[in-house]
Amino acid sequence: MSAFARRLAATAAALAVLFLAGVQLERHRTQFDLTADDHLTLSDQTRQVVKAVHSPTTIVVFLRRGEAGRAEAAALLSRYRRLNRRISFRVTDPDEAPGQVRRLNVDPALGGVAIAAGSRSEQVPLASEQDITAGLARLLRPGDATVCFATGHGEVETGLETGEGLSQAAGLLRVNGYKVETVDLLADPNVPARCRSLIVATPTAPLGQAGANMKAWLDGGGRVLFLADPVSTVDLNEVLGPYGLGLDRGIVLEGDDGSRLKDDPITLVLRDYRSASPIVRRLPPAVLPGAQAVSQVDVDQNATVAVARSSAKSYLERQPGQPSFDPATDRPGPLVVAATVEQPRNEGGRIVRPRLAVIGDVDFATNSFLGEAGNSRLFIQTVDWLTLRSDLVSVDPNIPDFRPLELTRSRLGYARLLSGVVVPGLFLLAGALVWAVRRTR
Amino acid sequence: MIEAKGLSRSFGGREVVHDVDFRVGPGEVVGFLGPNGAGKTTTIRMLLGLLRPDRGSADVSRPVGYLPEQFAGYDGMSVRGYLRFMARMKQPPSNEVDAAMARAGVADLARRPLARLSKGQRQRVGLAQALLGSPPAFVLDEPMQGLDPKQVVDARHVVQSLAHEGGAAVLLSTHVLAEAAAICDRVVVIVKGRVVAEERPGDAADLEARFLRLVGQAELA
Amino acid sequence: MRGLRATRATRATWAVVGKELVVLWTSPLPYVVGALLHIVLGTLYVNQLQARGQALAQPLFPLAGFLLIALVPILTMRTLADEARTGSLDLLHAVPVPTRALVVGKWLASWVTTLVVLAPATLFAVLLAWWGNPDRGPIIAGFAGLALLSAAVAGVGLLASSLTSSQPVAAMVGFFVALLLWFAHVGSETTSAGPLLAGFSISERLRSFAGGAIDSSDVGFFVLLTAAALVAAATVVQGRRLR
Ligand SMILES: Nc1ncnc2c1ncn2[C@@H]1O[C@H](COP(=O)(O)OP(=O)(O)OP(=O)(O)O)[C@@H](O)[C@H]1O
Ligand SMILES: [Mg+2]
Repeated sequence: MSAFARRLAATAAALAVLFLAGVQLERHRTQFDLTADDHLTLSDQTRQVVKAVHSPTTIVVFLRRGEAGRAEAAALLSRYRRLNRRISFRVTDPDEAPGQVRRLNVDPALGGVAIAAGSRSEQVPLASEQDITAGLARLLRPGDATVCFATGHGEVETGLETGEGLSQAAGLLRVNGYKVETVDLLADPNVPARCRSLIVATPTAPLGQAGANMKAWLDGGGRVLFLADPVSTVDLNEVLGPYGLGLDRGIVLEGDDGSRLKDDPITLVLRDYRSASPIVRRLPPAVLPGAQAVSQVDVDQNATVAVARSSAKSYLERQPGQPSFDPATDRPGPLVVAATVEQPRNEGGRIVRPRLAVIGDVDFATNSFLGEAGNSRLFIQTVDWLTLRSDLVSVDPNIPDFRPLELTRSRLGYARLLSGVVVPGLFLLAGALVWAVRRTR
Repeated sequence: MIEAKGLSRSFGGREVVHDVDFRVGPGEVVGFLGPNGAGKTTTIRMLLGLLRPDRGSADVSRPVGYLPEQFAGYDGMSVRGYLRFMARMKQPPSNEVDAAMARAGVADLARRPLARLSKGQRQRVGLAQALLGSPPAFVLDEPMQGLDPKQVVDARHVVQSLAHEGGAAVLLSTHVLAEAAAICDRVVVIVKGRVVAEERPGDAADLEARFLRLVGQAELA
Repeated sequence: MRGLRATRATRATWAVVGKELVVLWTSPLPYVVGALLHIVLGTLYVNQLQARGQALAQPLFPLAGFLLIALVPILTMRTLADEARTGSLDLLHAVPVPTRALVVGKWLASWVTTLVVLAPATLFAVLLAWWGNPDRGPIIAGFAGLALLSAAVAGVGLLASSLTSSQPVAAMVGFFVALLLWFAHVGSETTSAGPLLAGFSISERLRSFAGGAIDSSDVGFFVLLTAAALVAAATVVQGRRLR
């Protein structure tokens, strides 16, 4: 018996060794991606970002039980984890973890993905490589990324908590890891150096010296977001013009039912995101209550991008008092309502990258409308684009090819015949043959 | 050589083999006799290392030719295929498949599947399997069961020649006293797990009388 | 001396493989299992192809994997259980044949049989290549995954067969254990031991292969699981041998 006891002990030891070997294999895994397009491999941009993660980071994907994509999300995130063990992840049903939902500030109805490191957290809408990498990049952003709201010329205020205010927009930026400040450009027209980007939300008084200084700051690699609005008559073209953009006075009236709120030609529902710009990537329709058109002035090298348009049934009404299309003065749609420019320049051996975004409406970002559909994402993605290195937000993942298979009736019949009749038939025939041969013996 | 040294074994607290001692030398055929349930098969399994003795030990020359009480091969295989397989499993491997088949009288069954053999035919395949590799020791548990009279005679010759010509030690259990009288040099009688006699068999009638007396005495005790 | 023992064990192993193959393929089991497997697999997979309209092999693998965990224990149920029941195992123990050779030989024969039974499933790859332009990587990786899964499930089935002398019990125990392994990841998010359990999920491992990835840890998992099952089976055979 003692011999068998020894054998039992040896078996237990062997099983333990096998288990530990398995744990080690889990730790040091290497993967060979046999797919033609390497779509199981994270893109180079993602690898860069993931390598830069130096503190424990948790990615929580909120997907309900039974919702599609849970397994895919886990598979994707395990690739992140494989690249960097500091990253851990969970796929969680928001209904089962209300505490987490609250702590991570997730909208339980929308779900989404929360990426948290220490006390900071980022949210992205989808468990896709683009979104998660962008979220990680935002987390990695230095803590001093300061977004400045210009004041002093009648701009919409971040301190205002009524429906017309931008207090929630400022809050959203803070949740996303930005420092938010206001800078009074009337008192001191110079944009402070600590501002990573400047938001100018519908000034109602002429900018004067501040406009010129803004232009100079932009030229030196500054980042500016203009939120224009039909209610303001202040001329911003002094800053916009040299960058190939302008604002067209008037209000966009939408004639297409699918692109406006019901019976409300003033309130646009943006669906036409024609560019690949990271600002509108996977953006749900955004709601713009009363927008002005952005005109593209073709300058030499065209670095301007029309990010969002109204429909072909819209037009720019120059006299809102008498809303009817007048071919002589009004401009027919589709009309650009959001545009961006990036104009890298070599300045004394140093590359500077001025970036400028213009959206023809401010209301979408106000407290009344920020919660609508894609508005908050439009806002945050725009600020992200302005503030971050673009290679971190515009990840270009490896995507599997679509490989069509035309299953005609005859092919279908053939496949069914082969698998349902021929192959099983051959098995049974072989069995019968063996049986018959043995019977003769 | 086959040697049992004080073998004892209980099942569920009931001792079915008690302190069994005997020895089968080279060139010797020893009959292992006893009533049903006396402990013959249990002893044999301990000799072969298939059952752990509670006390005592066994010493059996290897390799050993073993024919179990209920021989079973593999239904799907042919007789030759089965014997080939067993020949390769033996230590050392044997290449005497055809010779063993001829000796056990199954040469004409070579291609038949085991599943289709009669009981006696299968028993002979079991015997052929035990013969593979010409081992120096044989342990045969009721080797003649199910054989027809002609086959019994042939098998007796085979068993005797194993010991007397081949010099092997042969232990065979049986209930047929005439058989023991005919081929055994010695018989070991076991009743209720104890060896009650170890002697020359004498003639069949004599052996039967002695056997019944021994069993009767043991029952009374 | 060691070398001699090793060659003896190897020879015995191959002899066991050959014998097991003969015994298996002269029984109706592999033919019936093969016919069943392909009828069900073909029906389900062709439906998937029709629904997706893409030349994708991916859906084939979880279907085949699940069918295998049900069918491989049927192929392995006989191996040790029936030999213990009839007593033919005693003859081998009396020689004695090294337990390692018995267990490995029987496992290898069961694995080879499973692969042969599964082999016609590659016809689907041929059809896909003929009618469309499938990505070859996931097809190769997926079949590699199925082969490894078969090895592991054959090990598990053999272990189940070593525990009992009854074939139906062996098949059911084997299927049950394989089923537990298949669903090991389910609910892993809610328990603290979840991630560890999820690591044992053969379906998750297979999914990784089916996607076109050959991951050292997945390959290692199946190899280690197979090894663990065989080590355990060898111990059980030893333990049951001397009672
Ligand atoms: N595995 C077992 N478990 C419990 N009891 C057993 C076991 N094997 C044998 N026995 C008992 O041990 C006793 C001896 O059995 P054994 O098979 O050795 O008898 P035997 O002499 O070979 O009888 P027979 O002539 O019928 O073959 C019997 O009472 C039997 O019931
Ligand atoms: Mg008996």
